[in-house]
Amino acid sequence: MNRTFKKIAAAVLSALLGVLAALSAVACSGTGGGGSYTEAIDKNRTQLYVYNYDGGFGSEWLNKIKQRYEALHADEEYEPGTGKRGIQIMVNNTKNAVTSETIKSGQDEVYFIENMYYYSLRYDGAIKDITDAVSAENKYEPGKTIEEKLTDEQQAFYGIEGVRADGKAQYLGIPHYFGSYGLVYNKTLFDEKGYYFLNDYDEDAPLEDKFDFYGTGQRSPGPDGTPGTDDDGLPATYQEFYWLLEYIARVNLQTALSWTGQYYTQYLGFLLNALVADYEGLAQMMLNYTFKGVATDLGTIVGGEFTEDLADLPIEESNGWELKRQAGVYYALDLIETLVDTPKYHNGTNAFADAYSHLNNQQDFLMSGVDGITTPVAMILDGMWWQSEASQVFSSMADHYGDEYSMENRDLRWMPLPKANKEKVAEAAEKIKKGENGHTIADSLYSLCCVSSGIEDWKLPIAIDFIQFCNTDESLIEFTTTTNAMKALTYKVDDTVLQQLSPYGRSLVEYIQSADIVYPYSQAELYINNSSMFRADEYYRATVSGVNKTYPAQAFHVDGISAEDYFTGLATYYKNTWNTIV
Amino acid sequence: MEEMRMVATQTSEAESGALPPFSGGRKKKTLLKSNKKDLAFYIALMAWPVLQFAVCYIWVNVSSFLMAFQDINVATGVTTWTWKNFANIITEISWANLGTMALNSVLAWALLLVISIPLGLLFSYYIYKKMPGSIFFRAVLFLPSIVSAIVMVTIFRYFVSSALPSFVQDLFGAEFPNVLDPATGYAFWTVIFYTIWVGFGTSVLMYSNGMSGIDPELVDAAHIDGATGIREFWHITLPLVFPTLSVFLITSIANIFINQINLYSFYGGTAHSSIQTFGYYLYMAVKRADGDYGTFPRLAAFGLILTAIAIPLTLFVRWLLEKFGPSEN
Repeated sequence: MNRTFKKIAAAVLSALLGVLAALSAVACSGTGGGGSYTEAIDKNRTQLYVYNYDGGFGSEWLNKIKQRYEALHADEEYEPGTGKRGIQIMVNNTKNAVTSETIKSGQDEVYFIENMYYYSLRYDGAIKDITDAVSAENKYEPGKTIEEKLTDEQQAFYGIEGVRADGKAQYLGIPHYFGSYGLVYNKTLFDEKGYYFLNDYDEDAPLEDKFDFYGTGQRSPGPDGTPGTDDDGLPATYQEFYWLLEYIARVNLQTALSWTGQYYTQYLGFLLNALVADYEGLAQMMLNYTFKGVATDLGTIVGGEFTEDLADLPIEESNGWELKRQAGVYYALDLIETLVDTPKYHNGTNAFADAYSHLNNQQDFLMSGVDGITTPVAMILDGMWWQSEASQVFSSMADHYGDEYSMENRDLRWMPLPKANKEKVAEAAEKIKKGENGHTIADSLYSLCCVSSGIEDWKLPIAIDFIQFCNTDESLIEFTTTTNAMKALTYKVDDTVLQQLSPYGRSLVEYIQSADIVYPYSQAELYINNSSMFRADEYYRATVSGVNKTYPAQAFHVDGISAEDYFTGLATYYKNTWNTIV
Repeated sequence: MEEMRMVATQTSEAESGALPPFSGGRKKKTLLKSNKKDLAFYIALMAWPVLQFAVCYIWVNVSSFLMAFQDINVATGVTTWTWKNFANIITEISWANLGTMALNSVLAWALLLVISIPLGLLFSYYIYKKMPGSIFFRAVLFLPSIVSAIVMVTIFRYFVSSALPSFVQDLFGAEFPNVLDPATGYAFWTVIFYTIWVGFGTSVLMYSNGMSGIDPELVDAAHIDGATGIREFWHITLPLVFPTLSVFLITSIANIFINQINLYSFYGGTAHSSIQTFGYYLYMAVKRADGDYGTFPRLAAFGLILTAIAIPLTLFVRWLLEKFGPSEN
C-alpha cells in the first residue's frame, strides 16, 4: 500500500515537475516581453503577432491599422489546405522591455519598439532582412517606396551597403515614431493674461511694459523672427524667456514652468539636447554622430564668458570629443542652470521631488486654474507625446467640467524653443525668407519597426506586407490624427488633416514640418560600437573637480556647479575618456 | 503479493548491506523497470535546476569572464582579444567616483552589519523565547519582505517626501526637507534606513528558525544550572546559531560589491554619484548599455576586478570566523 502510494506520489510529482518545466520554458519564450494580447485567437484565421511598446503614443493607432488591414484581407488564404481565411493581427501591448533574445525566441513577429540599438540587434541576428518592404514599390501605394520617405541620414544608417547580392542596401528595420522634448503652453491662459511680448518694447522698461497686457498691441515676431506667424509674441531669446518666467511668477503669482521631479534629470537633459540642436542646426549637430565635417563654433570659457575659437576645426573620429565645446552646448547649459537655480521660475519643491511623476505634472497642468485648488501653470516641460499620455485626464475633465475641457477643445500649444540670442533669431528669419527651415529638432526616441528573425519563412511575406501597409501615407496620417504626433518618416500633413487635430496637435505638427530634424545616429563605427554613450540624456557627462557627473541638471541642483564649470568639465571628461571608445 | 514479497526481500538485502543474488530473469526485469522509473523521476527532479545552473551560472559567468578580454566591433562583427578593457573602465569611471562608491558600499555593509545583525539576533531571541507579542512582531517584521519591493519603495517615498513634510508643517509649522533629495544631504542615510528596515524581516526569520532548532533539554539544563536570559543568549543560543550567522557574514562580503541598497527602486537610473554603490553602478551601467555590445566588455572587466577583490576578502573573513568565532563546545 505504502509502495503504491509512493509510486503514485512519484508519478504526480514527476508530472508536476514536467509541467513546471514546460511552463517555465513557455514563460521564457512567451510573448516576447510578457505582455498580453488584446483578443483571443480566431482559429479560422491566420495570425500575425505584433509587439507594440505601449508607451506615450499608446496603441489606438495600431488598433486602427489592424482593423483596416484585417478588413482588406478578410478573404485571403494564407495557409492553403487548412481552411483558414483572412488574417488576424494579434497585438501585444506592453511596456515590458525586449532584448535580442526575446525578439528571436518570442511569439511576436513584427515589432514596434523604442530605445533599441539597431546594429546590436543585427549583430545578435535578432532581426530579419525586410529590404523587400522598404526599397520595393509599396503594394498599397503604387509608385512609392518606404525608402523614399526616409531622410538621407536615415537611409545611410538603416540601409547597410555591401551585404545583399542584388546590390541593394539591406534594411533590417526602419524608424517608427518621432519624438522630442520641449515646452507646452496654455494658450488660453496666455491670451487671458497677455503673456506675449510687444513689438519694439523698451528693454530697460519695467517688466510689465514689455507685455501685451491688454491684448491689443502689436506682438513681437517671436523665435522665428518672422511677423505674422503663430509664434508671434512668444519669447524669442533666452533673455525673453527669463522675462516671461519672471512676469508670470512675480507679477501674476502663477507657476511659470513645471516639470516632473521624479525624472527631472532626464527631462531637463533632453531639453538641453533640444536646445543644443536648435542652436547648432542640422549639419553641426550631426557632427556629433558622424564625426565627419568641420566644426564652426567651438570655444572655451574665458573670464566667465564663452569665447569662440579663432579657427574652425575639422572633425574626425579621433577628435570627436572637441564637439563638446560647441557654443550651443554652453548657452543651453546656461539656460538649464538658470531654470534649476531660480525657484520662482519652476514648480518649487515638486520640481525635484521623487514622488512627483510626469503624469502628476500633466494632471496638475490640466487641472490648474480649473479645480479651484491648483495654482495656474503656464507651461510644462514634456515629451511631444504627452497629450496621448494624459488622455485619461482629458476625458475625466470633459466628463466632469464639460466638453470645453476635452483634448480636442483645450487650447494648449507646443512652444517653439527660444533662441540663445538675437543673432540666432535673425538667422532663423533669414532662413525662412530663403524658404529653408528656421528651427532644428532632435529626435530622442530611437524607435524601430522590425521583424523577428524567429519568424517562419512562409510568414515573412505577410510581415513585409503588413509593414508596407503601416507606412502608406494614409496610415502615417492616421497615426498623426490619432496621436497628435508624427512618425519618423517624411510625409505631408495638409490643412485638411491639420483641422482634424487638437490645437496642440496642430501646433506640434506645424512646428515639426517647419523644422530640420536631427536623427541622432550614423554609420560611423565609433557611433555604432558605442551607441548607448550617444543617447541624448547620456551624452553630456562632465568631470568637475575630478568627479564625473552624468546629468547636468542634477549637477546644478545637487552640487551647485555652474554652467561654466560644467561646460569646461564636459571637454575634460570626453577628452580623458575618448580613447576608451575610439 | 509477489510484489510485496520482493520489496521485503529487497529491504532485508538493503539492511544487511549484501548485494542481491542473481535470482532469475523476471526479477531482473522488474528491478530494471523500477530503476528506470526512479531514473525518470530523478531526471524530472534535477533537469530544470541543472539546466538553470548551467545557463544562469556557468554560461553567464564564463561568458562574462571571456567578455572582459574582448573587443567587440558591432559594425564589422569582428571580435578581438585585448587587455585594454581593464584600464578603460577605470578611466571611464574615474578614481574619485570609484572612491565614493567604495566608501558608500563599505559604509552600507558596515551599517547593515552593526545595526541589522545585533538587532536581528535580539528580536529573534525575543520571538524564540515566545515573549508577549512575539507572533505579532514576527508577522509585522516579515511583512516588508513579502510585499513587492517597488510597492514598499513607493509607499516609503510618498511617506517621506509628501506625507511627512505635510505632518511636520501642520503640527509644528516647520519645514521638513525632502530627505530623498541628495541636495539635502540626507538621501544616503534615508536609503540606508529603509534598507535596514526592509531587510530586517528576513534576518529575523533566519535567526529565529535557527534558534527554534536548539534542543530544549540543553536550555532546561542551563536554567537548572542558574543561567539567566542574558547568559543563556550569550553562552547557549548565540554559539548554536553561529553557523547561520557565519553564513550571513561570509556572504555579506560579496554583497559589498553587488548591493545597490534599493537605489534603483528609489531613483531609477539617476541616483546621484555621491550616493552610488558598486552594485548600483554596475547594475545601471549594464542596464544603460541595453544591448550595446561595445560597452559590455568594459563592464565585464569591472566585474572581474571586483571579483578579484571579493574572493580573498571572503576567504579571509571565513578564516577569521572559523578561528575566532564561538564554538558549540
